[in-house]
Amino acid sequence: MNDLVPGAAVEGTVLYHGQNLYAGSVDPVEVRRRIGMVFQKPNPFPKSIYDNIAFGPRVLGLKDDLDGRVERALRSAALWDEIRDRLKDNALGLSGGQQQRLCIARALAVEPDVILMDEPASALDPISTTRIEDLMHELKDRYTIVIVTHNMQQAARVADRTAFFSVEVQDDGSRRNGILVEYDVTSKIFTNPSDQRTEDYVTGRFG
Amino acid sequence: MTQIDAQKLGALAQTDRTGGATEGEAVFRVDDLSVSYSGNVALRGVSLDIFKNSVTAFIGPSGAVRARSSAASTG
Repeated sequence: MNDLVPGAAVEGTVLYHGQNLYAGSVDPVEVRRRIGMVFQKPNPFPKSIYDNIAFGPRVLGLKDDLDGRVERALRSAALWDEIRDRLKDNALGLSGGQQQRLCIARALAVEPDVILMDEPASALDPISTTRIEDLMHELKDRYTIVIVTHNMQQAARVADRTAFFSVEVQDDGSRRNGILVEYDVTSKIFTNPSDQRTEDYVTGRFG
Repeated sequence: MTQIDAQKLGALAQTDRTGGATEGEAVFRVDDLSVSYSGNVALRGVSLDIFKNSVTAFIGPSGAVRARSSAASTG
């Protein structure tokens, strides 16, 4: 995605199953098939529920048993029982929580390896949030999940490991950049962090 | 590098890149990742492994920092 930002530059390496994602030979379409994304605000296409889920498989030519693939994705996202009789309805008619589970189902439909979730529940009510969190617990048996969240309680509830990022201010105050402060098992980050900055953040002293 | 920077890096060096994992297959291995926009560094020197069949959370005060690191992971 950074490729789309003018002036963006990346240094260092990101190996995905041993392959450098920034090597020139990497096919971005294949990377995005394997690494699904779910965004902060539910973003269904203005199409039917069925066509939302079938969109990725159709683009990729995965047309065998499309109905079965759509059903499996919706079941995996804990949405099937609610909408099985409404597959032709417009997805924009669903509730916010249903729309977000639809977006998760849409990501799952192309059988990714990793799901990146960027604040997936921040626009949802507490009950919908719980459903998304329960879903993460179920999905991690089959997928690798990375969640970006502002909600520390949510990280404590759902994550096996937690990475705490903070902002580093240069001496003259002119520049601020992000750094990884501490990365550990979630219980340690929240109960016995190694770094004072982590402790200050998780105890609510700043941020 | 200033003394303050060196102290901060010292703190970083204590952080285990595996996030306390003792076993498991790393899906992502991020090494010394920095992202900049028009020469302005947004994210600096991130190294960590992300393991298969786990949930890894990125937390922190600035949404941009974390969003950018995840965006960098998607290429």
